[in-house]
Amino acid sequence: MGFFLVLKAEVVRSMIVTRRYWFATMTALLVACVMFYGFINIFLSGLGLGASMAGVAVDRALGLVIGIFAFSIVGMFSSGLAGMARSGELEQVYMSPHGLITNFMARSAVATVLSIITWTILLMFISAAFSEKGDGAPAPTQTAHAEGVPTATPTKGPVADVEGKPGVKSAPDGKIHANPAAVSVLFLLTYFSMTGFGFMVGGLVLVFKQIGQVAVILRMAMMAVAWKASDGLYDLPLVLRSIAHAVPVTDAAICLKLVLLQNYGMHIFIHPSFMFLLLNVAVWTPIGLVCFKAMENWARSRGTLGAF
Amino acid sequence: MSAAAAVELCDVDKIFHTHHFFKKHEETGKRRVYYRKTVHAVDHVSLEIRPGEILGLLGRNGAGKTTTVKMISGLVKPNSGTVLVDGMDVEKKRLKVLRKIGVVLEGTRTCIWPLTPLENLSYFGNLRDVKGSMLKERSQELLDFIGLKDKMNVEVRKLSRGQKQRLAICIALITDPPVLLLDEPTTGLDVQSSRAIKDKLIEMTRQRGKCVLVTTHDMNTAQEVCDRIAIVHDGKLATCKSTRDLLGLFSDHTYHLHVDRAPDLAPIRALPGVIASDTLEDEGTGPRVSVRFEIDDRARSAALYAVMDRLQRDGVVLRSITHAQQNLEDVFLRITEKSLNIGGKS
Repeated sequence: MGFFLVLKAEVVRSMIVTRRYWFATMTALLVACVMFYGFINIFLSGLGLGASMAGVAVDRALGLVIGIFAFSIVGMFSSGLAGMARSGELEQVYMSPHGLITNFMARSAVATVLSIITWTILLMFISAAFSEKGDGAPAPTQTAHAEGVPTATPTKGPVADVEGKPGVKSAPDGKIHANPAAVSVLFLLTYFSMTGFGFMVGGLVLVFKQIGQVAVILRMAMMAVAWKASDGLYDLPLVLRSIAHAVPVTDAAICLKLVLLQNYGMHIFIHPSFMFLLLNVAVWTPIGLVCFKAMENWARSRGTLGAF
Repeated sequence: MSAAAAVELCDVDKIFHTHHFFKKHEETGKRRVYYRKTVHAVDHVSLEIRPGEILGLLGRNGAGKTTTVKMISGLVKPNSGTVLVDGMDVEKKRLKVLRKIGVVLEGTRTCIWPLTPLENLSYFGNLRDVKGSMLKERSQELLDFIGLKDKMNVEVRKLSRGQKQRLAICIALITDPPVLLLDEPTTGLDVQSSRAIKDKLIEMTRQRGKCVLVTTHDMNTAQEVCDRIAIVHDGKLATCKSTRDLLGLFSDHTYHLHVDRAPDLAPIRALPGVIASDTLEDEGTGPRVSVRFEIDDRARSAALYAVMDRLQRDGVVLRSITHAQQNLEDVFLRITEKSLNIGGKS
C-alpha cells in the first residue's frame, strides 16, 4: 500500500516538474536525439560499414539505451541519493512512514517508466533514421522466421552467428520488433535486477558518501557492457563469462536486443540469457535489500543518514 | 514513562566516532595515517515533554541539540537508553512513531523548490498517507493558518527564507501530528518572520494542544514561547526547569547597590559569602555595585549586611538596593559557564 502511495506522489511530482519545465525536457530530448544520431554515424563511419549496417547501428543504439537505463537507475541510488542527502530531502523521505526501501522502490519505478518513455522515443527515431538509410543499400543478411522462431543465418560483424552456441541468432535489419508481452517481462526483470544492484550501491552511499566516483565508474562500466552485450558472450572464457553474467545488465541487454531486434518473441524465455537474468534477479534483489537495510541501520548509528 | 509525557527520553546516550586518514591530529598537531575521534554528543540525557507544552532545548553549537531531535525522529540511533513517543519505543516502532511526529530540521531544506507550497503539501501528504479531500482541506487550512495562502501557487524557489520556513512547518503539520520537533526554526530570519513563527507556535500549542520541542540559539524566542527550558552542555542536561523558575534561578542572589561613588572592590570580594562583585557606571544614576552572593539564605543575608557595613566604613553613600533582573541569556551563560567549570575540574 505504501509503495502505491509513494508511487502516486512521485508520479504527480514528476508530471508537475516535467510540465513546468517542459522546454528544458523537450530540449534535452532533442539534444539527446541529435547526439545519438551523430554518435551512431561516427561509429559506423569509423568501422567503415556505412549505411549498410543499419542493424548494427540499431543494435548499438539499443545497447546504449539499455546502458543509459542501467546508468540512470544505479545513478538514482548513488549520485541521486547523495544529492538528496545534500538537499535534506533524504531526511524527509526517511521520515515518511513507509521506510526508505519502499520509497526508493517507488522512486526507481517512476524513474524507470520515465526513462523507458524517453528512450523509446529516442530509439524509434534512431531506428527510423537508420532503416531509411539502409533502404538503398543491399542488406547483408536476411532475418528468417520459421513458425515465429528466428533461425540461424551466417553473417559477419558483431551479430555474427556461431554454430552450436547457445541461442538462436540472426542478423537484425535495423527495425524494432514490437513484442509487448516479452518486452514487458524483460523490463520488469531488468528493473528488479537493476534496483537490487542499485540498493546495494545505495546502501554503501548511505554510509560512505564519498564513494560517488566509484559508483560513477561502475555505472560507466555497466553502460559499456550493455552497449557491447551480445550472445557472443558465450564464446568468452569461463572466468570472463562468469563475471559478465554477474553484471546485472549483461543478460538483460542480450535478451532485450534479441527480442527487439531479432524478433525472438516469447522464445526468449527459453534462452540461457533469460535464465541468467532470472538468476540475477534472484541474487541481486535480496542482496541489495539486505545490504541497504543493514547500511541504513549503520548510517543511523553513525549519524550520516541525512548528512553529506 | 510518566503517563502524561508525549515524548520521553530515558537515559539516552549517543557517542559518535569519526575516522580520519592522513590528517593532522587535532590535539597533537602531528600528521597521522589514521586516528579515531570520539564525540559524546548526548550524555545520558533524560527529559520529557508533556502534551500542550513548548519545551525549549538550548545549548551551544555542538551541545547535542540536533542529535537529540534526530534521535526522537529516528534519524539517529542512540547507543543506549530509550526514546518514547506517545508511549512507543522509537527503535521498535519507528514507522508508527513517525505518524505521530512532525519534524522541521535546520534550514529551509524540507521543501521541494520546483513545486509550489500547495504542491509540496500535496506531495508530502501523499507520502504520509493523507489523501483526497482531507489533504485538500488540511492544505488550505494550514496555508491559511501560517499566512501563506496568497503564495500557495508560487514556486517555493521564489519565496523568501521566512516563507520557506513557514512552509516547512506546514509540511510537518500535514498529518496533524501531536508532537512537533523544530530545529532552530527562527535562525536567519528577519524580525517579522521570526515573530510570525513564534506567534504560530504559541497559537498551535495553546489552541491545538500540540506538544512542541524547539531547539534554538535565540534566547528571546526561548524566553517568549517556551513553557519549560532544558539547557544542554557538552551533551549533558545541565538543567530543565520552567522558564519562570529558570529566570529566577540566579536573580535572588544577585543585588545591585546604587552608590554615590565607586568603592574599592577588593575588600568586598574578600567578604565571606560574596562570590563576585563588579562596578558599573550607569548614566544618570551614578555607579552601581553588582554583587553576587551564595545561594544559601543565611550566608547571603550575612554577606549583604557585611557589604553594607563595609561601604559605610569606607564612607560610601548607599542610595538604593535592587534585585538583579536576569534574562535568559544571563542564566544560560551562567549555567553553561558553571557546567564548563565543573567539566574543567573533573
